[in-house]
Amino acid sequence: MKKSNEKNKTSKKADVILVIQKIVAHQLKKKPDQIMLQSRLKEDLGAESLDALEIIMSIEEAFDIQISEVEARKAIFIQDIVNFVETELKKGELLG
Amino acid sequence: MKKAVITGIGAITSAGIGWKMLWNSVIRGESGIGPVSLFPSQRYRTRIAGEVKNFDATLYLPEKLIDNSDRFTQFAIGATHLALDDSRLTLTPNRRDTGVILGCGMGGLSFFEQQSAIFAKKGPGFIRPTSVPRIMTNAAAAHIAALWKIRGPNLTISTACSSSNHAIGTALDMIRSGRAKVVLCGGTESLMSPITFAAFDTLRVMSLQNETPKQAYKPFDRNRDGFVMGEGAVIFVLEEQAHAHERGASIYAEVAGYGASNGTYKILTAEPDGLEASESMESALEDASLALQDIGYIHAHGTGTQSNDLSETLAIKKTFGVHAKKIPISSTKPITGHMLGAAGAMGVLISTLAIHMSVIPHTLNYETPDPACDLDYVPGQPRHVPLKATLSNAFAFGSNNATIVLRQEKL
Repeated sequence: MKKSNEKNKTSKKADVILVIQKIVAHQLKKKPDQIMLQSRLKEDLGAESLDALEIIMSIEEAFDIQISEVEARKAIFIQDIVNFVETELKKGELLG
Repeated sequence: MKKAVITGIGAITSAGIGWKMLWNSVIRGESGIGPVSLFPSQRYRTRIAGEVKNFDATLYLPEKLIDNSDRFTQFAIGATHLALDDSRLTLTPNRRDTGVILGCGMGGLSFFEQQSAIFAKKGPGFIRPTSVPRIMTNAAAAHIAALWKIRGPNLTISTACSSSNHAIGTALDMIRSGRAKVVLCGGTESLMSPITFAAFDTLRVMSLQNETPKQAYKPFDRNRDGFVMGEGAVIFVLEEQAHAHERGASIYAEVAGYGASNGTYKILTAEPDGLEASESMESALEDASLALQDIGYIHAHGTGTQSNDLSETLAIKKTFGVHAKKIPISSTKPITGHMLGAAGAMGVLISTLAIHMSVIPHTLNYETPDPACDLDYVPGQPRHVPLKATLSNAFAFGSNNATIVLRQEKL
């Protein structure tokens, strides 16, 4: 994965979705447009546990955030990941 | 006692992909050794190696696995495809009588080195989660078993440069004991990464003839100055003889004996009088129930270091006595480079094809006899000789030794 893509630190919703789509697509060898907000990471996209760990780590690097095990386990849909990232980015903005 | 026969051979080497291309290189004396290209090598003492070129992983591996595996795993999967195609054996999924036993010296150190650089720069939280299953020495065997849905024994033996002879010997034992009817066995290695290569470089065991890569590696020659590193994989389909006959398989040779021994002299140096290596050969001959004069060819470990070639010569004399001078001995490592954990399997491949083709390969670059190494090292060119049985040595750092005896198949 190209680090330049991962480093797009942004809070714009469309950009967040785009970056997450790219990360998930890269890990699972799919096209970004196959990664829908309503897709389930494991059941629909076929992610294995190791894929999920790689995806979490890439998202942490891309947005410079930390994702706890508890939060990671809650992420069933791509939408869950997007929501979590947006919340974390907003927290960061509030903290300045 | 059940017998084990080789019905398929797959090879990924610097001198050819597939055993036919490799064998042509061996017979023509075309070495795969050249300047190191996989990383900048200007600051190394040794700057040559037998790198695998033209390997297209997409022919053999699912796209996702290519991104998540190291070269040693990719080579092993590629060689397994070639071996199974060669054997015309279709593996039925979920069979418990089928196993995988590979030899591998050091695993995915290339990826480990990449992660070490990330660790140094960013810290522990940035090491890829896929590191463990990618680096582990048994990654190759694990992926082969997963891809072909093999449910029998799945082992990886890691004893440095003898690894794959022990793997083939263990596969033989599995078949003899009835634990398995088919075993995919052999070896794989790729240590062409900057830090690992540097470790061998500072150990001063590799040739310094950087200006003449194809002539650099000269086992048993008086002017030998060490080995040249190679990489690749050799995989065999080893079958219980009756199983192979039932399906009408073509048989290359029988794996007739396995011997192992250990030296107590030094970790990195064999006993100078050749005792430990001779014990390995004697053990394999006894296991095969063969007489000394039955062996028509020896594929030597022949690393091209001063001490190994001398002690192996003494070991062959100790084992074969008056017969030693009559037995042609060669090392094909100058063709492929020293494939380390896969070197034993490479020697078994040569010893098998020597029987199958009735041809003894020569020792490339052997020109100046060493008075201390005074046996027949097959200089100049290959010889056409019908062979009843051959013997292949693999000796290793750690002072362990393994010998495999091959025999023309007997019913």
